[in-house]
This record gives sequence, structure tokens and C-alpha cells, in this order.
Amino acid sequence: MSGAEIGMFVVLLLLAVARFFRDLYRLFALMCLGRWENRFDRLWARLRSARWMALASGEKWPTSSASTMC
Amino acid sequence: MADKFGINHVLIFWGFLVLLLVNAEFVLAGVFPRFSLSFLGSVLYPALLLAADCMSLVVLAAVIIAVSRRAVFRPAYIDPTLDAFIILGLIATLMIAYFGLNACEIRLGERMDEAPWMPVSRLLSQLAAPYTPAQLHVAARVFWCIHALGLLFFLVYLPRGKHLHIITAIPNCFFRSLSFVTTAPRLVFKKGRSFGVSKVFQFTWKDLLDFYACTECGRFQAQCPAHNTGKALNPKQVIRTGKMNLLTNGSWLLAGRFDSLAPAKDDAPTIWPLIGNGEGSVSTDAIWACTTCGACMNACPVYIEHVPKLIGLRRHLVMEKAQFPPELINLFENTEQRFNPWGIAPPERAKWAQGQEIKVLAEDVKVEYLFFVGCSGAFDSRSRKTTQALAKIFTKAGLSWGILGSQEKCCGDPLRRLGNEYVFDQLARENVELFRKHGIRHIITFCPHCLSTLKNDYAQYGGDFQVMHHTQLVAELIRQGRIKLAGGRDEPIVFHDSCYLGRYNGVYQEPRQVLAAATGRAPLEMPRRLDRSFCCGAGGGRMWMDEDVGQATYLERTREAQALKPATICVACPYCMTMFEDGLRDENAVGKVQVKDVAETVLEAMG
Repeated sequence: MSGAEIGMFVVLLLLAVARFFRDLYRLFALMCLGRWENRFDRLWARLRSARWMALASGEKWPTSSASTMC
Repeated sequence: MADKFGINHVLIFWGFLVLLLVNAEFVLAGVFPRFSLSFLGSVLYPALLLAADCMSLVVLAAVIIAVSRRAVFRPAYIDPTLDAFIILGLIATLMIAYFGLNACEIRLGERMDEAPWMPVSRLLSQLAAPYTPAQLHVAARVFWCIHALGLLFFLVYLPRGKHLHIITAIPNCFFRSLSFVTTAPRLVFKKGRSFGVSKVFQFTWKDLLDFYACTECGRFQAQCPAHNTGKALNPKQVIRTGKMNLLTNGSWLLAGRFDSLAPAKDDAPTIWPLIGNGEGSVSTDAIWACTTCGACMNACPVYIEHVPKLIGLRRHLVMEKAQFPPELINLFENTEQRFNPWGIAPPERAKWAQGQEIKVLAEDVKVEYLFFVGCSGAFDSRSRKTTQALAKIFTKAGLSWGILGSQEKCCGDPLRRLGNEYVFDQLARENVELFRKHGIRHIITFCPHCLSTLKNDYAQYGGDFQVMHHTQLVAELIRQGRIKLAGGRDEPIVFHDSCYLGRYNGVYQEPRQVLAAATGRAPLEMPRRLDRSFCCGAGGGRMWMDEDVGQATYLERTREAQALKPATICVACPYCMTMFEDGLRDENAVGKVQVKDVAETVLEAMG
């Protein structure tokens, strides 16, 4: 690639990244408009609970009580 | 049912993660042309190339399937939105450009060392055989530009569409409620405060994160009893509407603020109302249609909490606006003044126990178990039969038990689900005080709604007693051999899971074990059962409201049960009992099929 092409790509990349983070910050600021609620409790339990990783499988893990029947 | 469509998602998700690395290499190589991830070594780098090449093909196939699921073989719960087609088209474009670029470069002999690790690209490079090197150079440049622009557009577009969930879903799962959401937050009543939610930023930050995390998969829509019977409520639409409302009102609000990371004030102005019939508003019909059955929260793959949001809206309508369906006036007044939904005089509460030797708790009368009869069990003529059956079972089993008699008050379940938090608060405080006064440690409930309220909602009021449903206690008494069963009638019985017993409190096995012990065989199972059980339509205060839109929920569930041709429909909830009896009446099946509580079946088997 020529220097001009690289330069053009860098400019577009910086614009896209800046736009991306600006939008993310805006969404974060909007979220902060909501009322405070403590969801930072039991952090270890939250981390240890692997269920949130079930997202990657595109399916929730069945609850143990329900899955044992039938 | 939406059981298997996670497979396509997992392919796209893991493909996305693998391709994230090669796309990072692509971007960095665009800025620093000599950059390559080849420093990863002679094992890792070829492995990465192989994985990326194969996953690109897999992702392309998954995208084609996803498009066909939206355009051709579309299940009812999937909306073919423009947003989805844009993202799927973009992903497909990126994959095609990736293969095109690699194939041209391999053909030109530029990546001969890497070609053995890119089987798909190498195969495709054979298609480029007829073209001259000059043409291939041009084609490679075009594919590079398409890929680069595609990536940059993806970056810009991501925060604007539903695919924002790529970023927000994992934090939303992390901050989720660690157990199934069984209650709504307690309100503190102070002068000058507003109650409930009428503006989007009166939700909590986690509620707002829920809006961002929605994948619009439609799984809960497919399981919502209100949506499935033609009501105005569509849980997916509620979440989407909340997001639209937040983006519009919030952006306007942020424009005039400097401390933009502080919560908004209650009196902050808004452009779009949150409750209403226009764009970006949730209609009152939708708000009142919810049975709070929790099927939506159970089905949501990213743990969005729908029900507390709808209860927040109801709280505003009831406590701030006094706007609620007119048929609820009697319920609210009766419960506030006479402590039961029917407005029957409180001394009548213990009438069912007349003529029986049942202990009524007093200062000098102490028992191990309090039987919290509940309003239905005390006043409803049909449910009284179940109450009396339970009384006989407890006595025969030699249990130390008693009732509160006329001291007992409604647990407040319908009030809390309908948003009348003020009266619920009074009842909860009075009941907890009463339990403390009598030193109660163990409570048995007849009704799953009482169970959930006493166990989960009263915990907010310092209630520290053990609460169990009668099926749990009866199952334990059978295990201990304190209930002797002579055997019941050999007839087909179908069991219906109550939402507040199953989904809300995880009691699935005990009623089935009790029925199996009482009848000698496992009950029949409906297609929608256990945590995917379909609501009878009475939860969330709907028991006390008219159902004049769409098909009756109880009728759909009754028909599902009837399809199994049972002699008896067995329930463990007085609301479900009423609903099934209404359903059988509508179906002209009274006399052909009976509705019984699990306790009645046990008493019959005790001989």
C-alpha cells in the first residue's frame, strides 16, 4: 500500500474508533441516569457462577431442579 | 419451542472470537504494513490461520441459515428486522472479502508459506486461475477495501443496533440477580418522594442495562401467556420500547447536563412519556396484561428481568395516578379494610375449622408449625375442601400445628403484584409482627402465592421463618412414614405446575413424588411443564381482573391438559384450581374431568 492509502486508512480508522467509543460513553452516561442499585455484592459468587458464560453457547443452562425430572 | 436455535448462535459467537484476532492483525497491518501475528510461533500462528479459515466458512454458513430463518423459514418469535439483515449482510460481506483477499494473494504466490494452513482459501484460489496477475492485484485491492470498510462500518454501527448485546450481554449476565427474581424492591414511603416508574430513568441502572443487553431473540415472547393468547403485552416490545424511550429522553436530558454520570432527578423533563399509547411508550393494556408468571425471565438467555419493570409501572399507575382497571377497586378496598379480597368479615376466616379440634394460636397455645391458610383456603368454598383435607392429613400424621384463625390477614400477594405497595406494606408489617408475637419458626402454606410472598417478599421485612408449601411437607411426611397410603384410584392424572410454586420457588419434584406415592404411578405431563409451564392466567392479580381481550389463558391451558385425556387435573394452587374449573365449564367437561388439589388426592389414598 502507498503512504497515501495508509494515511487514508489511519484517518478512517481513528474516526471509526472515536465514534465507537463516543457512542459507548454516551450509552454509559444514559445508563447512569438510572437509580442506584447495588449489584456489586457477592462478586466472587458472580465470578464463580459460570452460568454467565452460558451466553457463549446461545442457550441458558437448565435449572437443576427442573432438569432432574422427566 | 426455542430449544435448539442456540447452535447457530454459538457458531457465530465463537467464530467472531477467532476472527477477532485475525481482524486485529488485518487492521494493524493496514497501519503498519509489515505487521503480522507470525511472532506467535510455528505452532500457534498456523493454528490460528487454520481456525480462522475454517471458522470463516462456518460463520458464512451460520449467517446463511440465520438469514433463511428470517426470510424463509421464520418462526413466529423471530422478527425479520432491517437491523438484523444489515448485521448479517455485513458479516457475510466480511467473510466473502476475507476469502477473496486470501484466494487472490495465494494465487499471486504472496502467501505460499501460509497457504497450507488455509484450506478453504487455497481451494477458492483455484477459481482465480483464469485471471492475470494484474487482474488479481486489482481484485485483491478491492477485497481489501471491502473488508476494511466493512470492519470500520461494523465498529460504527455496533452501538446503534441490537447487536450492542455483543458488548453488553456479558456484563448483564454478570450483574444479574443470582437467584430467580421472586420479588420487587421494597419501597420506602416518605413525603415528597415519587412511587413507581413513570419516566425511564426512574428504573435502576441495571434495568437500563437490560435494555441494552436484549438480543431480541424472542424466546420469552414464545412462552409469554399474555402474548400467546392475543393480549397487548409483548415482553420483547416492552424492552425495545424502554430502550427507544431511554435513547430519546436520555439524549435530550444529557445535552443540558454537566454532571452526566449522576442519576437523573424525578422531576427531570422528558419528551416521550414512558406510559402511553404513542411511540416509545408502553401501553396500559400491556402493563395490566402481565400475569407475572416469570416465563419471560426464565427463558431470557441474558437474564433480563422483565417482571419487576412492569410492577414498577403498575406502582406508578396505582399509587400516583389511581389509574387501574375498575374491577380492582373492590379488591383494593376489601383487602385494605377487611384483609381479604372478598371483603368478608374477618371472624369468618376460621369458619372452615368449626367443629374440628384445631388449635388457634394464642399466648398459651404454641405449636411447631403454623398453617397459614390464606384467603382462598379460608373463604373460597371450593378451596375450603382442600384446607379441610390438609387439616385431616396434618392431624393424622401427628403434626404439632395450628392456625391464626381470625388474626390471620391476607399475605398481600395480589396487592404487591398489582402495584398497590402501600397497602401491601401495611399488611406485610402487621403479619410479620404477628408471626414474631407467636414465636413462629415454621410456616406451611396452602397457596403458592402465600408461599412466595411469605418466603421471598417478607424477607424484606425481617421475616426469618422457614416457609414451605403443603406439598413439600406432605412429601416429607410420606418419606418419614408418618402418612400411610392405602392406594388411590387407578386413573390418569395430569399435573399442572403453578408458576409461583415451580419457577418462583423451585418446587417441581415434591408434588410429583406425592402424586406418585398416592396413586402408584407418575402423573401425566403436559408438553409445557416444569420451568416451562404455561400460566393458568390468574397470577399477578389477574385472578381479580376481567379477561376480555384475545383468548382466555385458562382455556388454552385447560385444553392442553384435556389433550392428555385425564380423569383428573391435579393442581397445587387455589388460583389454578379456579381457572381449571372455569376452563372445564367452558369446555362442557364438568363431570368428565375433575380438578383436585394434590392434598385431596393424598387424603383419598389415606383411606
